[in-house]
Amino acid sequence: MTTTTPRTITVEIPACLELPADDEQVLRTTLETIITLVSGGCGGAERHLGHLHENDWQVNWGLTWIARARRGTVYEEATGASKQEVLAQLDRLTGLHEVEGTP
Amino acid sequence: MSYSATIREAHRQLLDELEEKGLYKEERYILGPQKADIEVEYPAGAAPAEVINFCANNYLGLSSHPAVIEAAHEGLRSHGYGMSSVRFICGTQDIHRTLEHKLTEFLGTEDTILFPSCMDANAGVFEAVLGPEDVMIADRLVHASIIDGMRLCSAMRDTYKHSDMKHLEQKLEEHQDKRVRLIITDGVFSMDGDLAKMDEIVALAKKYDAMVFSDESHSSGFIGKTGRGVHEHCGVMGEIDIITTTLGKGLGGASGGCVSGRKEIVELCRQKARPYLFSNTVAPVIVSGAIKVLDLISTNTERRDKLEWNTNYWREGLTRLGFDLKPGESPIVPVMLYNAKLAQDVARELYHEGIYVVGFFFPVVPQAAARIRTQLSADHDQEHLDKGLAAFAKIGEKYEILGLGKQEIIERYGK
Repeated sequence: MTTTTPRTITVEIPACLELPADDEQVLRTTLETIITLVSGGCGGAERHLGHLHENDWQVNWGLTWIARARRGTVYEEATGASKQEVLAQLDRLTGLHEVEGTP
Repeated sequence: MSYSATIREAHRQLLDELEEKGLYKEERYILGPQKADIEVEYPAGAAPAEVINFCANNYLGLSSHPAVIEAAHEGLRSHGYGMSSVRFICGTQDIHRTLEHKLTEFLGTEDTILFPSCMDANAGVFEAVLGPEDVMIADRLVHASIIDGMRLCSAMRDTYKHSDMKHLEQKLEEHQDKRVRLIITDGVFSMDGDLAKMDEIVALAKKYDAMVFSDESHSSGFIGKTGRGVHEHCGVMGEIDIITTTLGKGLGGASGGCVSGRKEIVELCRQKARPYLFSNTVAPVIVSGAIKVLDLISTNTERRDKLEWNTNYWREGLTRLGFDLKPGESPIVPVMLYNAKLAQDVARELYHEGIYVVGFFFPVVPQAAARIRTQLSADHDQEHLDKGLAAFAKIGEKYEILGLGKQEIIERYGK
C-alpha cells in the first residue's frame, strides 16, 4: 500500500520502567536512524541535497550529539561525536562568558 | 512584517526587567568637548552640573587637543567629509596609507590596516586568518569585541583562566594537534586594569609553536616607556603576531581601529576581513586627527609621563584614604566596593560632589565584585585629583567603608 500521508509510530513506555534520559535518547535515535536509512530518496532530503550540490556546496551529513547552554541572554551550542565531547566543548565555550565585561 | 503589539509588549517587558534588576543604562548629556572638566545634563532636562570626569578613556588628554582639532579641520578642507565607499573600491586616500604606516612604526610591526573601529578589527581578523583546523585560546576576561570576533570564526574556541600561565600552558599542550594555535589576550584588561604577562605569553608561544594576539586598546599611547603598549612594557616588541588597537581611546578618542602585525596577516585582512570589505572607510577627518595624534606622541612622552604621575598620585591618595583598590600600574584604577547597590549609591553621591564616575556590577563584572572604575587622564591636573580624593574621602566616610577590606564591606553591605 502506498501513501503520501506522513505517519507517526507511538510507543508507550510503562511507568514502572525507569528509563534514563540517555537511554531514551538512544532508543529515539536508533528508530530515527532506521527510518532515515530506509527512506532513501523520499522525504525531501535528497531534493535539498541535490539543490546544494547544484550550487557547488560540498556537503557532509551524519548523526551527531548536540549540547546547548543558556544563561540569561547568553547562548552557546556544541556538536560532536559523543556526549562527553559535546559537554567538554560546551564547558570550553562558556569559559568566555564569566562576565559581560566592561567597555 | 509590522511591529505588532505582541512583539512590542514582549520587548517592553525585557526593558522593564532590565530596569528592575538595576541594569538599565542611562545616558548623560555632556554639553561640550571631552576633557577633565565637563558640564553634564543628568537626568535629561536637569540643570547642567560641572563635574570632573574620571570615567573617560581619554588617557592622553587628546580628545579635544587644539592641534588635533586643527589637523582634523585641515583634513576636512583637504580631503572632504566622507568617501562614500569601502576601502577597496574607491575609499582609500593617501592619508589612509600615511596613517597605516605611522601606526606600523609606532607599534613596531610589519604592516597595519585600518578598520572603522577596533570592534570591527576584532570582528574581522580571526575569521580572515584562521580555519576549522585551528584553535583560538583566549584569556577568559578578554574584551567583548574579541568574544564576538571569535564566534564569527570557524576555528575551535578555548579559554584559559585569567592571566594563569600554567593553565595556558596546559591548553597549549592539549592543542598540539591543531594546525595553528593562537593565544588571545588583552594588553590591559578593561575591568581590573591589570596588564597581561606578555613576556610569559610570548615564551609559551615559542615553546608550543603558537601565535600571539593582543588587543592594546587600553594601552596604546601610554603603556611602556614610550607608550607603544604592553609589548614594549614587557620587552617583547616585534614578537606579537597580531595587535589590534583603537583610535577611540588614548589615540585621539574619536573612532577607528586597526589590525597591525605580520605582513601576510594584514594582507589577508585586506583581502578577506568582512568589516573591512563591507564597511565604510574611516572618514578623512578622523584619519587626519589620528595622524596628528601619532606625530604628537611619537617623539614626546610628556603626556604619557604625566599620565603615569597622575596614576601613581591617585592610587597613593586613594590607598592612604583607606579604599580597597585592585593592584596595578595602568590608569584604570578600580575602587572595590563589592556590593552592587553600594557601588551605585557611591557613584551617585560622588556625582553630586562634582565627580563623574560609573559603578560596575554583575553581570558586567563578577558577582560580589562591584566597583567604581576610575580612569586617569593626562588632562587631569593635581587640582582635579585633589578634588576627586576629597570627594571620595567624604563619601567613603559617609558610608563607613574607609579602611575596610572585602570581607568587612560584604559583612556590612552584603554581596
